[in-house]
Amino acid sequence: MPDLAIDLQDVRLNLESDAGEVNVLRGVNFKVNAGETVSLVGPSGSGKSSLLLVTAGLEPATSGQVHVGGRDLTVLGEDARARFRRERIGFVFQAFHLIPSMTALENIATPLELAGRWDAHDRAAAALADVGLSERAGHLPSQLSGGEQQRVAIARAFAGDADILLADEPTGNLDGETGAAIVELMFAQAAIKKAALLLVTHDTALAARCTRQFRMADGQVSEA
Amino acid sequence: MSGQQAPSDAAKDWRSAWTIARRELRDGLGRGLAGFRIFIACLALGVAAIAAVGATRTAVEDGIARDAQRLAGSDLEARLLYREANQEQQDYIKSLGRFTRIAEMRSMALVGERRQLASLKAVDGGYPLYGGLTLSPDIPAEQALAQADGAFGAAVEQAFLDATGLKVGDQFRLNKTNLIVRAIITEEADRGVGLLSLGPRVLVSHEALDAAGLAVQGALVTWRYRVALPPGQSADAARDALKAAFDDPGWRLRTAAEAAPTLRRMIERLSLFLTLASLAALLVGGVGAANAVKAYMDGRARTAAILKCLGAPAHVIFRAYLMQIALIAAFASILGAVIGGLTPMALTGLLADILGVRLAATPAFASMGLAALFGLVTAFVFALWPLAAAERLPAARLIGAAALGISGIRPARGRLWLLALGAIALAALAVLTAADKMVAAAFVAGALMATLLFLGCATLLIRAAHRMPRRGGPLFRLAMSGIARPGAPTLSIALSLGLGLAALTAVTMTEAAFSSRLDRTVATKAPTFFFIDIQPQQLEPFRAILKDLPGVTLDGEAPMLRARITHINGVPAAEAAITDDTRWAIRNERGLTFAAEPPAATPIVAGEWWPADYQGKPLVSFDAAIAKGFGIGLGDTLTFNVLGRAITAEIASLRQLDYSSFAMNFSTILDPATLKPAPHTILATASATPEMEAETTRRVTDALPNVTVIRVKDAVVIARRILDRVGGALAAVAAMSVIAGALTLAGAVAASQRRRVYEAALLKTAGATRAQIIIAQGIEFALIGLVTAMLAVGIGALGAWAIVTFLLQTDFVFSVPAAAIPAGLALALAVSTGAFGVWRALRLPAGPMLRNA
Repeated sequence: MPDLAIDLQDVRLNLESDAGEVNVLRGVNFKVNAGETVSLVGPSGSGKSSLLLVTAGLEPATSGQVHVGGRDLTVLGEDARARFRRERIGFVFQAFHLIPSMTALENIATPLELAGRWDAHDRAAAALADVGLSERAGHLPSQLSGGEQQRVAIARAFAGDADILLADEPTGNLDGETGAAIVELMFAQAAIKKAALLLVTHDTALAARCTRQFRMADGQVSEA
Repeated sequence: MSGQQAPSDAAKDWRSAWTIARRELRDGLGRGLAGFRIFIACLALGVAAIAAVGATRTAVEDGIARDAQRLAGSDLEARLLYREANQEQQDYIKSLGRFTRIAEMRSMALVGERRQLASLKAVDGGYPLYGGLTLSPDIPAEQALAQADGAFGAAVEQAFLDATGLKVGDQFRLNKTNLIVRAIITEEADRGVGLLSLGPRVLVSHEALDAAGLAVQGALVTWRYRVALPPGQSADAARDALKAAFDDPGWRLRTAAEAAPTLRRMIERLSLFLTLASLAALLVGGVGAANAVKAYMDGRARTAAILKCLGAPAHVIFRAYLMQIALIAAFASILGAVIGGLTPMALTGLLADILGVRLAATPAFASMGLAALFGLVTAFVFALWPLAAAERLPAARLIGAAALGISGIRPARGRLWLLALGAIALAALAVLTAADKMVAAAFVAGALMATLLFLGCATLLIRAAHRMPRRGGPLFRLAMSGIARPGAPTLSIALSLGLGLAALTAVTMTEAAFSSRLDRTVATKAPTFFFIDIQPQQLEPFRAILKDLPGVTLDGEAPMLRARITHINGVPAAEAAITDDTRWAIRNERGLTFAAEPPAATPIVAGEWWPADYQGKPLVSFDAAIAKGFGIGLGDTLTFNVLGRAITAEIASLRQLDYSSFAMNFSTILDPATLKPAPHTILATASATPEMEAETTRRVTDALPNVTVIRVKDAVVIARRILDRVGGALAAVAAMSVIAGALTLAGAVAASQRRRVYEAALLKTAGATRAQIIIAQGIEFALIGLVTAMLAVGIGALGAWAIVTFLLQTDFVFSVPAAAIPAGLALALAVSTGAFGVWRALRLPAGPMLRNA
């Protein structure tokens, strides 16, 4: 049996809203093997992004088992989850979410520096070179195009030793051609790093590139 | 429709603007004016401070006017120095109404081995004419002061008992007679506010004063003849009639309407400075208000852009938001004015104790209205830039760039002119409504300079932060970018919080410099004692006593008379054109002396000293600084009223005096031939080692009981008490500026909260622990606090240096404690407010910020 990168069992997430409690995840059971690429499709509001946030430990599950990279995130405190995240998880968002006041290089170096890595800047520079943006190292996010920002985000996700990449609609804010290039880059990087990739997308063609495909509806996951 | 005239375009525009304003305001009110709370607080605080100062002044002045007869003790008073009015004069005054005769002087009370300086007041059965004297136990004054059980009675202030250890029923001695303390004075309305009233009050009868044998010729006694006129009679008419009946140049006549002149002057002066300090608080609050309007308009950028897309002209949008801000500013100003207007009620007890005046409870509508007007004009000046920027918002920002708000948009040139006009109106309002326009103008100039200095220095520091090498880890980098990024509130925080703290630093450091100067003077130059009222025939025994005491040296002695300047170059002094800062010199009788030789301590800066054996027309050597204020010089004349005799003397020389030295200082010295025949006493100063102080006092007063001994230390204590009170009042108002600055800081933190929450979410995603996030944002606020503290202390110290050097003309000393308090306050305020922001940011989950829009 291969190592499991992600193992969610009967995960529930209830969030408070102005209109009352919302059952975002309703008993999700879901596994991703190490090095495997998995896609998750589903309509807006079905809980895909929430599943990613729970998997990253950014949103604590209301109940259920959340094992990521062999660690039970439900027993870890907030700071322990943060430390785990910076060592094992890379994140790519639709809206890029780069820190606006930091340069491309600094954005990539930040998680490494937070982890106290002495070679943070060297590794960040190497990661930036891997995504073909060495000449943009000193540029602020506002000085980069959308595609360039997403490449910086991918470099940031892989600059450390992450073996799990969580991608939330990574091409949603990009045009078709740029989006295709980003997809190539992301899959290539995941393959080089032997990382598991959990990709949330609306794009069925993109979903089909993954080893396995899942569908999400009404807070529950089923294999497509 | 045909019968109605279509409204003009201008009217339509105003109507449209009002419609938009109303709807926007409805939305704002629906959310409890959430975006305007800091705006309202900043404005209301400054307005409340101005209104409070104005209302308190009105309440004190109205209180004085209402209680004028109680405070003056009469409808009309005739005052004479050194000598009694003759019988004819007294009979005339008696014929005007109810009458009382009072003698006041300083003397030493003897309590066993102890000697206590006392402010003696001898009264007759008619006193007090208008009440205002309360004794404990509650017995009539006549009964308290009467002779019984072989001694005269006395009513004394509690301070007298505290100093001597006596209690009611105990005896003490006054020169030749014994007195029994029969009551404690709990209220003496006509005492007035003597800034340097040394010695607690001892109230006795004229019979007791006569028995004590103190009111001898040449002794410094003030005689007061007071009358309560029958109802309906004019005090002014009575005064004029009295003046016409007896042409006595020694008279000082005062009606009740002129009661408490020192207090009135003090209140006027103090309220001027407090109003200006309050105005500083309002200006600091203005910065906070501007920030609040900017944040509001940032949030309204989308609405403004949609309105533009729908065809609303720019000026309609400007007017719509101006109307909203004006309405909210009016609310804030009225709120502040009402709070300030009610302040005197809260201060009644405190001020009654300090000033001896019962405050009037009349509402001070004029002060409140003026304060509200200041609030409105300030709001206009500070809100104009963000409003005018919103006016120029390109509709294109609606697409994609609405989040930028109004940042980076420069208002139209016409609006900048309007802004300049508003600023000039605010400055003009401050100057024109001030009692002393020069001081107010200097304040406006100083405020402008401090603001420019602050903006300049803070901009330089922010640029330096921007250019610093971007090393040192992500936490430090994030902090630096938080300070230096475009649109960061660093400048407004540093300006608003810093200006308030700079004002506080200036006040505390000026006070510290003054206090330190006082200490150094006392320690090095000041004598230990002043001996007053030494009779010429007592001079030899006096010298012998001091010579006999080890560790005691006689520093100086000079004959002394009290005289008033009545004419300057033949012009009545009251009508002469003299500067305000020298007016004190003509107000009352001042001490003067005569000498054959020039005094060593005061150098002659113009003219020549008279020959030792000079016999000729009267000559005077005068203080150069006062002469300058009088606009006179060598060869000009001054006329003095000396014991009822007019002496006109020509200025032969001018001397430079240092009044702060506590040494013997006479502004006026006449040639000996002119004054020697006049009855006078001797003033002497002496230095003594601390252990010889009590012995010296005892030996001198035992042998010469009429001689009054004043310890310089006691005068210093009183001077320091006054300094503390004035400094305290100013510091309290400067604290208002600090509060306004703190509100601005809180507003800036609230405005940047969304950015903070987002950054915290990104850092969490990147694996930052809570401690790391706290450190990152903590560094940002610590740095802002540090920059603010440095600028506040630097600029505050510069202000204090200017005040100390040029206004007080003394040495400036950088006081570390005076600097540490505002600096610590800046750091603590910045870090605690920032910490609160971070704490709130950390409590929010990262998810909502990171979900796809």
